[in-house]
Amino acid sequence: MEIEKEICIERRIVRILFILYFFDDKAGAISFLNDRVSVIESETKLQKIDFWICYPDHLAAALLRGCEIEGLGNSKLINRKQEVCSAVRDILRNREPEIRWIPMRKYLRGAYEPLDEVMVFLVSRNLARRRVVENGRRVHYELTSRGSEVVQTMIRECQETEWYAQRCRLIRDFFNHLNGFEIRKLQYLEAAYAMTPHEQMIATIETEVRARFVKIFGMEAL
Amino acid sequence: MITLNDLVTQTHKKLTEGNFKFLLREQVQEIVGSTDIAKWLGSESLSIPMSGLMVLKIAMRGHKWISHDSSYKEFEYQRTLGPGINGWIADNSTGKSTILKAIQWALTGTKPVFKSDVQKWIEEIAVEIRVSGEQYTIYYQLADGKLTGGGIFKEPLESVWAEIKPLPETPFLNPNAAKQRVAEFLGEKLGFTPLERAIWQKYAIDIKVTTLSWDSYALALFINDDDYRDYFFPPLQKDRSNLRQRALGIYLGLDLLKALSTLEVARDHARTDYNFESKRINTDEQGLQNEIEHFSNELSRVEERLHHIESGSSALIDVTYVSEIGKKISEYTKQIVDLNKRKVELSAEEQQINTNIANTERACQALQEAISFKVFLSGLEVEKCPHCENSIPSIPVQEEVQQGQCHVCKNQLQSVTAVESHQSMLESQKRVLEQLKKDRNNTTRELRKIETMLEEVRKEIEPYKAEFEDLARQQKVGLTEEMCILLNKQGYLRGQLEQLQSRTKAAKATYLQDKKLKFEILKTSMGILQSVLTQENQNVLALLMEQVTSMAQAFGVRNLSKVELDDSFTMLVTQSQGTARFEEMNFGERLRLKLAFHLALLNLRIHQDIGRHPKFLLMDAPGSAEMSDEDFVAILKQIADIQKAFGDQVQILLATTRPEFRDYCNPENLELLSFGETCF
Repeated sequence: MEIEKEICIERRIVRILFILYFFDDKAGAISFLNDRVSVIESETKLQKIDFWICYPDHLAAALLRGCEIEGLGNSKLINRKQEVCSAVRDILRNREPEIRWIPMRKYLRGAYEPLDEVMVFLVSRNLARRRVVENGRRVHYELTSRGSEVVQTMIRECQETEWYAQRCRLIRDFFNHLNGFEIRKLQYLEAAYAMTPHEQMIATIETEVRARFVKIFGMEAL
Repeated sequence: MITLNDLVTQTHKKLTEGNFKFLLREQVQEIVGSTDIAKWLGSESLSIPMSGLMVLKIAMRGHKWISHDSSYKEFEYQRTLGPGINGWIADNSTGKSTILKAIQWALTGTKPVFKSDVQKWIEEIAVEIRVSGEQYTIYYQLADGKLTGGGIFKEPLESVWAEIKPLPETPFLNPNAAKQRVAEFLGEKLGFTPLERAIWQKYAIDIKVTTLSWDSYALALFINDDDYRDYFFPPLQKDRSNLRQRALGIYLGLDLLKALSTLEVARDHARTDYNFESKRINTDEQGLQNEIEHFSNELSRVEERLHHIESGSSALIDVTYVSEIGKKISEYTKQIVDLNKRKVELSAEEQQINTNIANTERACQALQEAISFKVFLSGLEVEKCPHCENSIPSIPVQEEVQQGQCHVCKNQLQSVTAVESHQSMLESQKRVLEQLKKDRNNTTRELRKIETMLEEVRKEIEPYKAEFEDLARQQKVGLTEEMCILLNKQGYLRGQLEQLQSRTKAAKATYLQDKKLKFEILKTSMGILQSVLTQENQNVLALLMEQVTSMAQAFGVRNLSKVELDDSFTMLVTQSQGTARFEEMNFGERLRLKLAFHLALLNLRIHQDIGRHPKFLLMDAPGSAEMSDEDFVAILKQIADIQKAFGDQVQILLATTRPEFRDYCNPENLELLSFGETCF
């Protein structure tokens, strides 16, 4: 879509900024580094959370999986069926899989979009920074205090960010305990995701999710 | 003497020479052998008694009506009779016939026809007889002309007559008992063996077989009144010809009579059986053929219908009706197909519009966000180098724009993408969205309309489909029930036809043939036996008929040359004008021939000691009808000759109105009544 090419960078900057704002792998830890509000210690985790924001149906599917099976570290969801039901129903009722869907391609380790351009913007405005650790084997993504302020300002002043804030809170609420690898494993449980060829656009699974919702909760998510 | 084997052989030979060329001897053997005559063939020898029968005394008593006194007066009649001729000469209605009939009753047990008034007068009858050298008294008690008691006593008449005796072992409790007892007693004493005889009965299915005994044979001893329809028996005896052969055979002591009698009864059974079956089958035939035709037609209809059903062309369902329904269903189905096609198209269109709407909405959302985020993000100043992260000196944007050069890298500034183009795109997308929603509404409306139409068509097709689907059931149910009924009916009709066919004339031909064959075999074998009987007794019969001829000539039968008996003992009389049967002679000639025959029979017994005639004869008014004095005298002379020669061995009781008789009867044996006198 031509329009998406034109507009995708701003939306992606906002998504990454919000993810960095709402997720913190070192939450509660005292930072000895200057100006670091939060950190995500894995690019995989950052990418996979971004995928869930772009594909609300896959997020709903992951929530429903938690109600169906144990393991994968998301077994806690079994005890939160009503909350899952409410969250999934809202996603489907609001037609999010149709309207909020932002296509992503699948690479060797799942959904992936290069972060270079986004990080250039965030670093130059002093909103976030990238730290290469463990001799270049890992990259940490950190939110600066400036970045935190900007997010808060956006939430306050830009109503379009409200949905992103809520979505980040929802994901954090249900899946914050999972690391990047675990999230990827969970996302791979969906056949449509797993079977998507390399570099191809990942398909939506709204119809399947609606059917599973009916099966699990005995009602339509109208 | 003939044996069973001979009889079978001769019968088989005669039949195979005739119409039964393929008859097996075994068949003849089986049928003739089944009559059980073997024991009588070659072994028959009926005992011939030495002495005859003689009446010694007759007694009657009762009360007779005296008309001039108008009262009943006691009467009693007694007479002692001797050997030879005993006579009564009296006018008519003096009681002589009553006396002879009383003797006849006592000797046969069979009540003769009395005058109706006279029979009521008699209260007791006693007849003393001598038979087989012994004397007996036969005693009847009567009331109102009917026998009420009595018996056979081995005592003289006087002793029975004088006092009331205790009844004998076999008393006469009723007329039948008396008849049976007298027949047994005298039949045995005189050697008159009982023989079987068939009696034809009108409207009866089978013949009736009766046993001939003394009471029938004895009738030939009484020459009564003026009726001479038979040369041997008195009037009122029915079926004389059948009886005559046996009775005459017994009188003459002829052999094979038992076998002949048995065979004759068997033959008559077979004939009746064949005639009845033949008539029945013939009578049934038309009805049977009608029934067969009826059932055949019915069966054809049933089988045609079954064939019709089995070939699947049932007429249960109206083809036009089915066709109409099919046409309707076809029309509606076409409509449904068209509507469905349109619905699919519209649904796809709607789906596409929805997808487009979703895409447009997504684009709008993206643009909206992009505009908003762009505005916000563009306000953020560059503070660091994105690579080294070192701080970059802050230069007011305005100043940099004026210089047209980046203050960090010193390159020429690029023009910033304006939000306006995004706004323009958003507006455009919103319009597109609006149009899409309108289109969707139209499409949805049309889709609802199509769905409504579809619903209506489906409702309309429903009854036709239901009826069409039910046709199979209706047909199946109908056919199942009808098939059951038809198959049952087919089975029933076939059974009926089979049964009816088995009863037709054609099917029964063998059955009837067997019946006829049986009859023919018995008839032929009886004829052979009859012929053998006649041949074997030819001498006896020739002698008898010789005497009959000469006596008849003496008694006045004109131009008589020969009297003879055929195989069935029919009397054939040859005169100058030809041969005629006895029945064809005129009354006077029959009278003479009959008297000649009886006297000849008696004569044969006395002179030649042939046969078992009891040497006893009762003659009541033999000269009263169409007999000239000359002829009557000839008869009397013949009787007198018999008396003269064998007077002590023979007894003839004769009652007549003719005074000439006085000259031929000893006075002591004659009761002669004057004019006006009565016997009792």
